[in-house]
Amino acid sequence: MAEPFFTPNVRQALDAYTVPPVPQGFADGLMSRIADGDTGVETTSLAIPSGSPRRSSPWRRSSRILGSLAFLSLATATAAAAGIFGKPVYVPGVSEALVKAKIVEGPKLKLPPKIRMVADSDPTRAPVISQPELPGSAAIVESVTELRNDPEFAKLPPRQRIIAASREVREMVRTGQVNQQDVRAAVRELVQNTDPATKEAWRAVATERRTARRERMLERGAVLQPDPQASTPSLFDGAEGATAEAELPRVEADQQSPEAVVAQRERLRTTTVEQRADLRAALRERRQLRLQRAGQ
Amino acid sequence: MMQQAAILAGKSDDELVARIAARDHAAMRLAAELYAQMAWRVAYRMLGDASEAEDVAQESLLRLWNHADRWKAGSAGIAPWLKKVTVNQCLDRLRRKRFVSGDEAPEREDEAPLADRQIELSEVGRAVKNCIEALPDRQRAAVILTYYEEQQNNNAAESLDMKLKAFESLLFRARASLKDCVERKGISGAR
Repeated sequence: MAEPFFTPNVRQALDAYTVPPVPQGFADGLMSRIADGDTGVETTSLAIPSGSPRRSSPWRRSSRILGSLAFLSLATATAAAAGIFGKPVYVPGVSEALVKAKIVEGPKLKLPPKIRMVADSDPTRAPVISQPELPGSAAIVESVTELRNDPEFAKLPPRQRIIAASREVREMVRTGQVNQQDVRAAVRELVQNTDPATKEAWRAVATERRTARRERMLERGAVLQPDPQASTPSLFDGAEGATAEAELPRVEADQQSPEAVVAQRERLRTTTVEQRADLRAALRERRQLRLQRAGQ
Repeated sequence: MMQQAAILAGKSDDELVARIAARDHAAMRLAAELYAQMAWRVAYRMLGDASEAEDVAQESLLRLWNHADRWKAGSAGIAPWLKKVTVNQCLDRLRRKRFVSGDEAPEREDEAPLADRQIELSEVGRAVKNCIEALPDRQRAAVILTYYEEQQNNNAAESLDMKLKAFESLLFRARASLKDCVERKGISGAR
């Protein structure tokens, strides 16, 4: 019983714990049990109690409770997604899994609206067939056509009509019914389907607008003329200013023809950055003076 | 019968178990005579009660009788197997006792031994017995197997179905506790 861990004193004490010899008749008792057939090691005097009175650890108990709750939640979610409680409810993750497992049907795809041809006054013109790969454009065309056929819509001024139609199309884009490609295709289609008279009217309107825009530009160009009544010294005064003034483009009163405006615009485009900055400063100064004068 | 035992005495454990498996009562008696003391010793130190120790020793040997047909030839031998069975039966009993009482195993200091099995232990022996019984079950088994039964750590670990490292840790704690108890009580082997 050599034990290096224990001191000799302790070892001596441990060795003092002796065991008595086996009780007399041990082997006889054993053999008589064998002879009697009483060898069942299971039939002990102290049977294992069926229910352990020991409490399980708090961790185990908590994990069991949490596990049960999680299982219950998952089971409820699955049942709800499978439609056991009535109409199937969308549960993220679970519903996808059920659809994959073909237990429930997936959401039905939103079919594009049926294509209806625009009522055409010209029977000789071949109808425009929308492209099959862009079913969304047909929806836009249909929507816009419905709008056009609406008498209330027809009463609106052109600008309001455009705004209303744009709003309609934007809403369709926002809801995901159509995309930008569909919008472009629909616009092309609408333009193609438009009768020549309307197209001519559009062209006239566009020309008018262009002219109006040109006039506005000419008005702006007139501001570039030097104000002879300016009381304050101009930025272009002096030698340096004179040079700049000579180089800067000017719009004369007698040069306000369209050709002159184009030439003026070209000159403005070709000026240097510094010249443009000087010009802007001069214009600002003159505007202030004008305002002062108007105030007086 | 005695002649048969003499013949069997020279046989190896494997042969002896083979005879037991063949339901040879003489072989079983020989095994009981050879190993009963060892089983009883382990059980007695584990349980601290002569009656229960006798019961456990008998149960262990009966297991040998019952499971002899499943014996694997070439294994370590009957003694280590019987020690393992005995220790595990003792641990089971201690556990069951705790289940029944619903509390820790009581200190056996005040428990008087049975009159017919009264064991004359020295004062030191009794004190050491109390110290060993104060150890947790598995620590007690570790000390008994390694110190009193002089088993190697790996064999003792196998007896307790433990990894060697875990067993060494258990044994370290057991030794420390036992040493502390013995020294605290001022027990000396000379007394």
